[in-house]
Amino acid sequence: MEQPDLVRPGRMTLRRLTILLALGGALAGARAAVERAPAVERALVVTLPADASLLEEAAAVREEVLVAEARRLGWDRTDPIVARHLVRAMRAAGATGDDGDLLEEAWRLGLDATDPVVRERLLDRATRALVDDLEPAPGELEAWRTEHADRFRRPERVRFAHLFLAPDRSDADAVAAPLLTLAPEEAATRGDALLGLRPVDTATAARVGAWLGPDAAAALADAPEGVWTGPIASPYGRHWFLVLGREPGEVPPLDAIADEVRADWERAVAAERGRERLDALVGAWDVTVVRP
Amino acid sequence: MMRSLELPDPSPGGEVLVRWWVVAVALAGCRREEVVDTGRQVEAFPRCAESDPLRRPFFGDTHVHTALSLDANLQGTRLRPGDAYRFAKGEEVGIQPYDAEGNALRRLRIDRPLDFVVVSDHSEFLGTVALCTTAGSPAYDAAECVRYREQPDLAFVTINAYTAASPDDASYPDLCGDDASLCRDAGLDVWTEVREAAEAAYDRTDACTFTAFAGYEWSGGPGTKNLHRNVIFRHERVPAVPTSYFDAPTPEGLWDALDADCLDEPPCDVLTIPHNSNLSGGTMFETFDDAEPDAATAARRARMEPLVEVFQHKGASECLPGALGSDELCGFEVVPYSSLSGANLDVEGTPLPQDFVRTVLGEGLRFEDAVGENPYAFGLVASTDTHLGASGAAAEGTYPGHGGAGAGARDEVPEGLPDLVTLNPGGLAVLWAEENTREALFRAMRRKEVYGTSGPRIVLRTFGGWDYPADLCDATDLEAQGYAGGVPMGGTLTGSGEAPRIVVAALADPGTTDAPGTPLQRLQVVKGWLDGDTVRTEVIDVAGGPSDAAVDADCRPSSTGAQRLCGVWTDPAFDPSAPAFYYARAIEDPTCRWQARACRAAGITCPTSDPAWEGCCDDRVPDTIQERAWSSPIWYAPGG
Repeated sequence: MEQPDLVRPGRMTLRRLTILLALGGALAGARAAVERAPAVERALVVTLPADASLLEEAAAVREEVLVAEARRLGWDRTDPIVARHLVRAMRAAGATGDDGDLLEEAWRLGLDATDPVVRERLLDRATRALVDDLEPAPGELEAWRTEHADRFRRPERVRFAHLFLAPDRSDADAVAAPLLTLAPEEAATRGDALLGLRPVDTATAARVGAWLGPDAAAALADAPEGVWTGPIASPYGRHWFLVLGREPGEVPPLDAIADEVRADWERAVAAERGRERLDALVGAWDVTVVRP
Repeated sequence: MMRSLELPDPSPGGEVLVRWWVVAVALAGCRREEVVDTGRQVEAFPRCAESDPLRRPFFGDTHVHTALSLDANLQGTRLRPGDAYRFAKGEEVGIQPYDAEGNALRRLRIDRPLDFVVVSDHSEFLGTVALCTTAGSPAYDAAECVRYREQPDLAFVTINAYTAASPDDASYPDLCGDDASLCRDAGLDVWTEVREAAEAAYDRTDACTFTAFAGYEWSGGPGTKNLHRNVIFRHERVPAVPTSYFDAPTPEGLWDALDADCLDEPPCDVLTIPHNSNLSGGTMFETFDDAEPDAATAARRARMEPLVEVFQHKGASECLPGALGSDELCGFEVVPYSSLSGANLDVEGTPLPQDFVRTVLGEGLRFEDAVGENPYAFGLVASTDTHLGASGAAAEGTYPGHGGAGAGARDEVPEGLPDLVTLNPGGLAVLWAEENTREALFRAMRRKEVYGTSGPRIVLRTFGGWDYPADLCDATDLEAQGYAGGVPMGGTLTGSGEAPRIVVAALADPGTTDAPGTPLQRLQVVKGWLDGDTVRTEVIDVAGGPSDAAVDADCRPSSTGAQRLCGVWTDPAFDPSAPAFYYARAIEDPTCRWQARACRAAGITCPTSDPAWEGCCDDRVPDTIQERAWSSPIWYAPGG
């Protein structure tokens, strides 16, 4: 039975969807504006200290272009967060009146151009807008899963019998020899005790490595099937493995790991596309750097 | 009460397997086990390709803070929940400080991946962090948010101070508005991120490589007396909002909220894990309601809090030297503070015996004797409490500091020691479960078949029964016999017999190619029992023992310990009328503590005039330690 008071896991709250649509629309508008606007509208002077490094210059240019683009798109006048902030600032300064009047007065005073919080908001919104419309195209997640299969591949599992002998057995090889002729499960029970030992086990090399150390994991990974392999040394003693079968590692289908693939895609693609879009935006602006 | 193990399908060697997979009919006595509410189960169990009815140890961290926590955020942490999971899975990540381009100046990778993690950011300030760091938010230019950005060290104190208010005065920060709606609303998206990150990190395939639990930390600390609890949800069906100290300013209030928002809304299920009782100034194990403690109150606490975090960054809470009996190994990582402010400001205080778990386990026996319920029947786990998002980064040799109550690294790479010398890298939680899934791991927590380590991957197993053979340690089917003839750690032994036999078996951490593990020096049983109205304790070596193992001036160990230890101990002073508990410790040979490693690598000699390295000469902390693991107790209940 549905429990309406509980949150269901999902990718999008209504709040996020609203923001996404708004910014997506803005970015789409921005893209169209970039294509429509004549280059002369995109001219910017960036003033830097004389000793600013090239890295600092590049960072400053990127930041100023983002803010300038946001203003060019009119977000300094249309963004509701900017508007609420300016109204609050006006009231904090003692101004009275309705919100609309206060906002007009703030504009008249040029606060939208000088207020540092407004600038920060525009910068933040513009930065988010570079990637906030990011949704995988149909088939893109499947392509991502395939292209980066190694990130999602589940490890091989090995089914094996396991004989262990403690290190204090000076005659370990002699003890082991007849045991290794027994049925695999019987052999395991005739060895020495070891926490976690199962006569027949199924494990990944990683689990064996976490349990017995890297050498044992490597030996199990390489052991041929149907033949006892050993002795293999671990910190605990000597081991013999009889590989009974291997289940190859696989990349699960997308519907089994959709959240994982999407998170990986978002982290990688968002950063890359953000950089590409920002570079394109900077390229669309005529920037003059001035060092007094 | 009988319990049967499921038998696997017979193989061609079926007779041999049957001898292994013993049907657990308790002939010698009955046992009680905490049972999880299967009506709240939402995923198949078992469901993994590797599922072991005899259970395996899964290593994890139940206490991780990310950039979503106010203190971590103010200290420059930028890793978010998704990053904390990536780190836990073995990816290298960048940690603070960051340069002007946003590049991390330090890199970190865990030595071995973890099996599970709970990201447990402070619920009190999820919205505060969002509001103060999002330009133009409704609270962005509030005085507290301006201070947040411009004076982060001051804000760390002033905003955290809200959690130190008395329960009567607990309230959201002023920046949240009169009805706190600003912070509550902003916190919703943050909680969504927490949940979605856990879903994305959780492996739902049959490979079961990793489990992520949704959770948070309730961070009440009136008068800076720590009452913090981590809240862990069984699966993805969670409340719409986390509960903070400001919403529910007592532990009982937290449980009320969890009842209303979760437990009364099945299939939601939850448990809480208190931590740092060592810094609670005598209050962690009190009750705050006016009602006299009774069976119902005790049962409720026991239901909500089956576990306690006995060790983490801000010290050990197992035992206080001198408080109960003689225990030469009791002083491990006991910090010289009795409150959170003491730990934060390095202001010493006298730790109180009633804040330590061994004492409280004894009080639990007394409670049960009096009212019929034990509110303090805690299983023991450990964790890191990292505030860097570096889940499970508990290794002494690569310790970057954990932030939080310790030293931050927001602005520059730490010169000298990366943390306050009295603090430590924390530990790990280990859960004995059939497989690595939320369902299996949560059940392990509920039945307390869990233990904690101070960082190493020690494997520790205990069973308690009446008739274990004295040579059980030599049995290749020790674990099957353990279950068949008694109870595992976390269980309660009832019935009767001549005396309980406690089996303790352990494997030393096998280590890695770069960092070999350390042998085990000894296994111990810590017994506590009720002698009339007095709680008594005793520590007994059951395998191994004191040795000459040491470390040299370059931190090279000369170990004499063992890679495997096992002992079957029969309680020689068993009184069938006396309630008792038995928990185990596995103690490693000595190794260098984190600061000694750093100091010696830097060539520091004492005394030193370099303030960055003055911790090297701080005689409050030893240069060598003996890492360890603590099992959950096995309880004995007369007449059960």
